[in-house]
Amino acid sequence: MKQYLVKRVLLALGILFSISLITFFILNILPGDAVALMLGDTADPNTIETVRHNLGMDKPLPQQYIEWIAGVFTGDLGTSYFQRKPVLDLLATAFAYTAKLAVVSYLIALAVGLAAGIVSALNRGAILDKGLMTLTVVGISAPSFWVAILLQIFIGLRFKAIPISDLDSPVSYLLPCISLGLRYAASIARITRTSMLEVMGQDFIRTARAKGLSPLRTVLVHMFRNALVPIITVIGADIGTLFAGSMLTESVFNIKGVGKLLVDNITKRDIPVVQSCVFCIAIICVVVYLIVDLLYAVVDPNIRLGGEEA
Amino acid sequence: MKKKRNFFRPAAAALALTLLLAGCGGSPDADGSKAPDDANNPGESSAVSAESRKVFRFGQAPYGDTLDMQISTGSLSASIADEITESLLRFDDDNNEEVVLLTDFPTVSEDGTVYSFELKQGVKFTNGTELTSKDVKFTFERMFTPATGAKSFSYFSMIKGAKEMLDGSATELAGFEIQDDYHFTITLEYAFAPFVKNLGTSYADIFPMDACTEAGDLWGIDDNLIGTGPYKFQSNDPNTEAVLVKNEDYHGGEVKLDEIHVVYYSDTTTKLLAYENGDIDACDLISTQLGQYKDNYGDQITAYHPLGTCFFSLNLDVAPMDDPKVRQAVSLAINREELVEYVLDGAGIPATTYLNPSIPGHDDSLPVYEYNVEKAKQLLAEAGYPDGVTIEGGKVRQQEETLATAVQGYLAEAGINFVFDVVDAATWSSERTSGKLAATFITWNALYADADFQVYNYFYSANSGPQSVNYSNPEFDKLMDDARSDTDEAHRAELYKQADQILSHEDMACIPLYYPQSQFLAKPYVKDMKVGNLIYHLWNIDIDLDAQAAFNG
Amino acid sequence: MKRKKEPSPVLTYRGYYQESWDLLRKDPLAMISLVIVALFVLIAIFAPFIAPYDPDKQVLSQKLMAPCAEHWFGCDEHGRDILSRCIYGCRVSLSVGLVSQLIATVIGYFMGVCAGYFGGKVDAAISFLIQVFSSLPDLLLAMALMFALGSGLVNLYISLGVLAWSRTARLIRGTVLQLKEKEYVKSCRVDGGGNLRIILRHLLPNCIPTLIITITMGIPSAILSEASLSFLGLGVRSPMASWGAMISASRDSIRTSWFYSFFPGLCIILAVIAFNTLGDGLRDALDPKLRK
Repeated sequence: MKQYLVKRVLLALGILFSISLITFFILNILPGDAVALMLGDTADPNTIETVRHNLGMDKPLPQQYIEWIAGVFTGDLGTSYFQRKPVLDLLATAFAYTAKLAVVSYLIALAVGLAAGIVSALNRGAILDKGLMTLTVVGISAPSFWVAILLQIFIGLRFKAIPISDLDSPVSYLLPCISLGLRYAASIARITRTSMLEVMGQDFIRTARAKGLSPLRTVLVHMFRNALVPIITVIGADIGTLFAGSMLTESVFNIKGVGKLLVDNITKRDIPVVQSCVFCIAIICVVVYLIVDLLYAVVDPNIRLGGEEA
Repeated sequence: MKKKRNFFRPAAAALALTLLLAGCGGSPDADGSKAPDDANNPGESSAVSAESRKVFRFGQAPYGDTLDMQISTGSLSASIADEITESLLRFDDDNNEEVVLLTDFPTVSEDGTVYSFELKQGVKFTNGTELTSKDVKFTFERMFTPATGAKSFSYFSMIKGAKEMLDGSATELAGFEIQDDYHFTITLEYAFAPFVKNLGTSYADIFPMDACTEAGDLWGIDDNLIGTGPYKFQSNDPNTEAVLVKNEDYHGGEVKLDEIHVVYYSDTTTKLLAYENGDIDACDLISTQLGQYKDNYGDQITAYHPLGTCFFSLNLDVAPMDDPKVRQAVSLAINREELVEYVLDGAGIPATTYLNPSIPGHDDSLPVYEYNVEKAKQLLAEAGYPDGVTIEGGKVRQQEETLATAVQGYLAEAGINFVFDVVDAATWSSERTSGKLAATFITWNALYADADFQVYNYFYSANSGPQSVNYSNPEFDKLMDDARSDTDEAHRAELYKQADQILSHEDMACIPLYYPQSQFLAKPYVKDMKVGNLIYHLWNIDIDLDAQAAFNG
Repeated sequence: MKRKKEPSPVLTYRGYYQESWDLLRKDPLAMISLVIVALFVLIAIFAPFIAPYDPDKQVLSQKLMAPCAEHWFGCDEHGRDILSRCIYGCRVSLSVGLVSQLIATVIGYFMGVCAGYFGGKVDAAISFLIQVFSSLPDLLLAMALMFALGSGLVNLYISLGVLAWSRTARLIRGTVLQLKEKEYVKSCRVDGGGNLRIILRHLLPNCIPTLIITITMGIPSAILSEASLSFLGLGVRSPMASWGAMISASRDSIRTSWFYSFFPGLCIILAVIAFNTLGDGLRDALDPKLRK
């Protein structure tokens, strides 16, 4: 186990390193230049040079990269070209928004999804089940930004008490979280329903029921035991898309999260900020995948050995 | 599974449980989000408790990165910065210049190169230090110091010694001489008629030497800004809100308002909803949303015309735009009246020539540019493109996308296939500066009612490269040179009129589309809200408390 | 979790696909979605004949006209017919879905086969690459590539294709690992069959079911990615119609014109549901493990 742990952690570090390198490479081949934007069209060559020097942009690229990555270990992610503040501060503020948005959305999705899945399974074949399952199909397929706009039109603009932008008051979470959480609620509902049905069909449930035990409780206990691996997998897989989705949600609802920070600054080529935003998202994804992998190993030791499996 | 009743109740319980779970999930964050609310409360409650306090709440888009007007050139920054930092002179609501920190307008030497100034005595920055000549000198030297990265220097680079500072060969401004604490002279490299007007712009805001030096790179960031203005910062979070409070010692007399709250909304729809809800007293209203508000809020909308022209900027070095006939055809293909009526919801004036109507030199006798698709096609045929032509490599910024698409539609009717990409600001800037951008749209605003900035900075042969126009006509250049050093205003205007005729009619070096109109919404109890050329003059505003009570009550 | 099942028979004979088709035909949901997919394809191909108006023809006086008899879906901010633009948008979405998946399949197949077939260091390197690419949200990488390449249809194909390969590669690698142990592959190797020959003659046919499934399942996610990119302003060039770009443009007028964002979104949902359901059906029909 220890050896496996070390191997996985090293792999995760390797992935992070590669991502930072790729990001750095892409950002530096993008057309456009922060200084041209900063100084306008009448800039004096000496001014351009001085400003580039002050921002550290005249250093060779490998050196810039090494300095940046060295900064990561000391908690110094550089300074924003335009806002002139430490990137870490900007990122921390933005991350708080994204985390709030993502976590609240996902928790709501988890609650709604589980409830819908259970209700659906218990009413298998009934209209309620069919209705719910149809809704989940729509939920999975609807682009979150479209749902967001419809919510703004049909709820936000009708009820002035419900804000259509920003995350400040509790009620302002309503629309962004619905639009972001919808597809997760839908996929969780489907998985819950399938797992439930699988467990409910098994012999021991019938036995339990015959013994007069509360069937639902038995089903739930067994279901969760059985569904643990698929649930871990789903949550792990959702993390990446959750961040991508929150990027769009932040754009529609004007939430100052990591996604918005990233989009705003990539258009200005504020490279230290963008580089750090991408890295931040990468760290979260990689760490979550790592945890998921380790959880697998705990839940089902066979997986560890079957590393060659598809 | 058949006995549904057995399952139903537990299922309901499960549902309740999960909902409870959801509730729990929501609550920690609800706590988290209370914190900023609480932080806002003290300010609001104090405003409410003192009934007679005059608080004006203004909504606008975030100003971007800095309020240091040497670095920023945006009107959003200027609207806030101008309440705090002042320049020696300024423009009133009708674009007339007035003195602010001076006892009188500066005197000029006969050859038009030496300007003598006298500062008002006893003017204090809000940190308590007194304004003296050394602050003014510091301000200009800071502007020309390369490390500052100032954009504003180009409006003042005719000052003697500016070039040496910019190229790093000098650290002092040779053309700036201090006589004593209140007297100084500025010497120019060459006579430059609009110099005093340039001094009246926000770009020449005077900074306190000690405080500005101390702030270093952070000057203009957040609430790091100190000036002589009517208001000073209590706080400023560039993402949420700025609170400005009255400067009790203002040199210009009693300040009307107690507080100004500038609330930043990056989303225009939200900003307008906030206005409808009464969360803010006034905000700007962009043209694309004018149509939605015209009917219900007509009496609260004020329209004004900034000193700019929106035009289709073509690169004359790139085929097929190098052919004047093609450019004429482009112009003929666009129906400017319809464009203004529908795309802008009427918020503009169809262009008749390049120069804005409020700028001396504008020819009032001209009609709107002709719209004639047949004639356009004919001109194209004459230019050797009987089957139509493609204009490739257009790059527009997101804010011009709607306009560009509309123009694209018009051009298609005349057989001109206009291909463009929507690009971000950084790409657009560097492409344009490189002189290779084939075609774009831009609204070029004059700083004040003078043609020099609008024409010379964009189309003079030496300047038109970095604008990706590459226009060069010796006759036009000669008129520009003559007008720049001419001190007779009427004669200057005549020269600009001739130059404009060559530029935007004979040579068709750009395709003027319309003169923009901007508008803002303000509640009826807001008095004297004025805008000078896109910059809000919040210092004029007063609030009629009785009317406010009546309106809200 | 029942992985130690007896490997499936060699899948090269015709009967296998015949059998799959029979299975698919019995699945009503899959058949309905197949019909819808076919309809979308027909609409995309015959757009010029179906669309009531030229999608790029602007009539500014019809700006944001509400749905009516002449314009069923209303008009956009330039007075262009939204229905016609939705119909032409179908071309963009489907072609992006298809082409990007083909690119992904070519790269993914090659990488997956190499990893699975050669094993050892090659496998380690490719597996690492797969992990790197699947560690970041697709949209983020696609955004970065679109920023680098610029807008346009071809660049959309490339960005989305280059990014989707890791999923295909992962699956193919798994399939190949299983196949490698098969007797006929082994014997072919013993007989001195070249690597390329084995990869193309023996492995490819056996991977085709997997590829069909990944392509069908990949198309809806590519359609959604295209819509998201276009929504962020990183999609096709004006005046080309794209569902995502239309929704993006509708944001300025949400206060008055609900229909502008509503209909393009409906198109996206319908296409995505149809492809997803078809993909599910195909997987059930083609996956021998599920065949009993």
